[in-house]
Amino acid sequence: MTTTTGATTTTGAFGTARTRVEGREKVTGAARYAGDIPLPDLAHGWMVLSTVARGRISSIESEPVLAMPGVLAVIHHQNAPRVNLDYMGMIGKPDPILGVFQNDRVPFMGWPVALVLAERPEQAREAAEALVVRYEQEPHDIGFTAGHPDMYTPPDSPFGPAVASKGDVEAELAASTFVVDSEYTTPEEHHNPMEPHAATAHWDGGRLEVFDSNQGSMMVAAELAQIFSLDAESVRVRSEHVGGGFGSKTTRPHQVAAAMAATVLQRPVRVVMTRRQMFSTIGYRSPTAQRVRLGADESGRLRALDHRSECVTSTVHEFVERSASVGRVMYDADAHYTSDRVVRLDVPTPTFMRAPGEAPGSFALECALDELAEKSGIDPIELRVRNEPDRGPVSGLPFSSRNLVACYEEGARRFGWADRDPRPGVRREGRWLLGTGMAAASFHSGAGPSTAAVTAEADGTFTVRINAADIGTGARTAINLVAADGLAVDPERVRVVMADSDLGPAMLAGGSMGTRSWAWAVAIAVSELRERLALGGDIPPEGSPRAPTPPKPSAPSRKRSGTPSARSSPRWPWTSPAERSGCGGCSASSRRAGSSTR
Amino acid sequence: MKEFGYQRVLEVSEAISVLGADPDARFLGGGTNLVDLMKTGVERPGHLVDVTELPLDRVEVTPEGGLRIGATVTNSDLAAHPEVRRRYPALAQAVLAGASGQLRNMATVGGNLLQRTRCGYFTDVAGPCNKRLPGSGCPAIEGEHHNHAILGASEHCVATHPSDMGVALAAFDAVVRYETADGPGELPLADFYLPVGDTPHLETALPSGALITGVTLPPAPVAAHSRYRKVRERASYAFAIGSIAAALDVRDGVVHEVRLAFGAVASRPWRALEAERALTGGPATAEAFAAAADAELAAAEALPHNGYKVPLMRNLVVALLTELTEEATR
Amino acid sequence: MAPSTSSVITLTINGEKHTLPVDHRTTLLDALREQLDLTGTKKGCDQGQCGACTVLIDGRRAVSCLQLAVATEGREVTTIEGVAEGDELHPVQQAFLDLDGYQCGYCTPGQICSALAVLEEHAAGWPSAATADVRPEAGPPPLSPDEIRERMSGNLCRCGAYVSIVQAVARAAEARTAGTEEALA
Repeated sequence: MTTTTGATTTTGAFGTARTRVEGREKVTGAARYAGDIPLPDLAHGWMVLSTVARGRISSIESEPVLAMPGVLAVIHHQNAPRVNLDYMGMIGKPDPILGVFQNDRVPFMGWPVALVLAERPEQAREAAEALVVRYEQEPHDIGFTAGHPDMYTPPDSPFGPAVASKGDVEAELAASTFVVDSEYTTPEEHHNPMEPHAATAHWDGGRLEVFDSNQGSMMVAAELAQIFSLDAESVRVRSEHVGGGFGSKTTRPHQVAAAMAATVLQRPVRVVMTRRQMFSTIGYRSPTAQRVRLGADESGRLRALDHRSECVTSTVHEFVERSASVGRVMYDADAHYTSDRVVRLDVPTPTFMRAPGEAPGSFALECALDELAEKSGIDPIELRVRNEPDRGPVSGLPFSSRNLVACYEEGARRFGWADRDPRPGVRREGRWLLGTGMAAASFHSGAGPSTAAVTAEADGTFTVRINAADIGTGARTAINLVAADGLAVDPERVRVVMADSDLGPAMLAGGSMGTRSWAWAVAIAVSELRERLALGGDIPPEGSPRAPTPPKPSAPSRKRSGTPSARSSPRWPWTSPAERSGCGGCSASSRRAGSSTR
Repeated sequence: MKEFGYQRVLEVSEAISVLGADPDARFLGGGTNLVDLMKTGVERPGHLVDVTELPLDRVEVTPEGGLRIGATVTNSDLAAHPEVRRRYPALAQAVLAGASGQLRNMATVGGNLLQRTRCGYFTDVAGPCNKRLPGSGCPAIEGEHHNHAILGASEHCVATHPSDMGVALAAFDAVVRYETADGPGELPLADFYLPVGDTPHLETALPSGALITGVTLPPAPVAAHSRYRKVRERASYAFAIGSIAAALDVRDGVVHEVRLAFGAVASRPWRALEAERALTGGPATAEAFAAAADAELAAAEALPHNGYKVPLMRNLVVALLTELTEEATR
Repeated sequence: MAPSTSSVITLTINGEKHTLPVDHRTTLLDALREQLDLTGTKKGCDQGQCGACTVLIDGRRAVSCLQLAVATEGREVTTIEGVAEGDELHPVQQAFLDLDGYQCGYCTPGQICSALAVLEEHAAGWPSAATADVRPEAGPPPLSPDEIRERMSGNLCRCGAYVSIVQAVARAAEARTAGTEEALA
């Protein structure tokens, strides 16, 4: 059959309602997730976590456990292969929790101390429960409190400085007509995707293969290669379906443990975390203690914006929940002071979780703005409009785009803001008390380099290959539509192959940047293919150009976009922080305050 | 979970003899609590005697107009039964307020009565707990206890009983029927759960080796005018932070008969007899309801983080009795 | 003598009889996933709290993570793999597909199995905690969004697709009612 791309012209699929490409697999149970991949001779690993908050392992009594039915091995710090953690990963230096079973130190409760391997999961579970681990306990401090004496200012990071300021906050506060001084706390929050972290690892023809649940297979493959000192080409990671991530499905102890065990046993090994284990091993959002001081003149114009946030990290790795930095792009003020400080306690290491920083930080800052509106008698929207900056309030740099005031206007129109009764507790609908309110937030708008390949097949279909991850966001469907529109063909004729580290480097599904980053690469690849086909006319019977056969990247149809091009493990983020990228994610929304009356 | 034997039994006598032969054996009903506790290592039986096929799955109206409920009746069947819904609507509501559709299909009446507390310290085998490991201590008193007991607790344990069903049963004077090798026996629900004292690990007065065969509800016309209300931290599928079963018979503005029981406030479903006494024969007014609740809650001893339960229960008493009064006068 | 800790059981799964040896500790969930390669039933919490492992046992929904496989001897189990008629999706599956009643898809098999049972339970006149008057004289409540939310509350969706899930169940209920009326006409 001979087909030309012009034969079926369908434009504008993107932006229309579509059924998910993988929808049928998901509603029939056919979609296989990381823990669903059957492999012959599979062994099951069960993680054993520390039961003390700080100390040293004094002994691990593995002999009785090894005698239990079906038990194959117990891997712990005295017998585990050594690993390497001296590298820079896609999202920074590795959390030492990835160095599983490397030493006797226990820095927090729930730290992996052993992996029990058995023929069947029931046997592994019982053996893991029966394993006696003795500790030399040390005094611990797990109590996060505002103003903890060990609170410190962390060094600046790629995500921005810990402290940013301009002007004299104290002087401006003293001169203000209205002053708000409030403290806000947010609790720790856990990602808890529905699918627990799971990895099935095996050696296949000299390559380490891992069926995993992650937000970026390139990131995991590159890190596993580093950890086990392997060539990057010797590791293949796939995660075709991912049961949610929310920031937690990066490189985590389960992949390392599974790969280590597959190496030790020389057979396939699956490690699935239990729901309980996920509370200490996959990261979480730190609790925060925040103080916001706002000073405004008679008209509500801010003279001072002072936002100080404190959070917690572990003693082994620094992760800072950057809550205070939201004000740096949101509101103008004569004087600004924003700081994020952190304390190292004997607790698990927090990590990225759904708008890290922005979520708790916006909560505090926006509450303070509301309190200022209340105090000054100025409408909450009007108050924000009066403090709308025309350039970065601290950086002084222009915004690439910013439509916040238009968002306020549209939001106010849609919610009937002008006619609302601002008094609390005056509207009731059934069981609910209804109120209206508003808040604004900003999220950075970046993109990362990705590679994509598009192949015109002999049967008139097209195959898009990109190492994207669909963690439920609909990325697979979006990529399908971007490609279909670019090729001007019906989406049914486009197949998307993804979530495989052999497909080459690509952005991870994180920071709200995945689909955007991948779509660029796909759009460029598609456009080049179209040009080529337009020049050459019909597709030859064998397809044109030929599809690259992983793992060998083949040049003709592989198109690279973004920068840099040659490096296989670029650092994230590639783009500048929020204030320089404007306010692409700005929005105004209405808050529905309710309380049950039953 | 350690290895264990398993046996499905078809007769009550067989169940009792199999269990009696093995001190390490436990009855298995729906398993919704026991299997979960086996997974966490709290329960480590050596043998399970599956009683779900015993001929105890009927709900029958007694000649006096009460109900005989078999021990293996599932929560779903109990709540769906027309005579339960007609004669004891608060019982149907209480069962429906518990767990999820899936769990109600599995869970049985007998198992519901014997379910263990959901105190997080009880289910964490890495730490101490007087109920799980007598004498090891109660971390909840100094720790996380916002959903722990305000009534009838002790310095040894402040855990609550999680049942919703049991709260309605307590209000309606349920009697638990059981069978032992020596023959049948009965325990009023009021005597079924032991006081906490210094033995929180001893939870019921059931004789050793006994099998619960059912529950009898004596006739109670007042129960036809009853409701169950449950407060929890989300709208559904969560244990109560406070709940109440109430039945009310109001005649000419005077309380003729009232039943009140509280859930999630004590180690057992808490029959509010003080409040009932204070109300009976008095006016059916919000003031009287509040005063009665205060009388019951005078004995409450709150910990630093569960004091909210005192006003919560008070408000529940007033709200539910007010509704029942309005319903009666409509 | 110590009792045997494993048994050979026979049960029917999706209409097909299976005989398999099981460790008594093995849950129905693990037997399905590890021994029968029926991985559509998902393990979300393994402690009866998320509903991802929901299957039908003798036509009633149950969490397979708390159901011991050995205690399932002789019963009929329906998993997500047995819901469609060949290539033809069940109306509940079709509604989830058409209304995007999912995101990551991990809770979806459990949601769908649960929804199947919700329709049956409602048709049988079962009240729920959202039912204002549970007395039989009050008649069965309409399957309102509040009723659907309550009846589906044993199935968690961390992505937050609840709005679409409620719509999907409502649409499947409509289809069922229409189908019943058609059959009666």
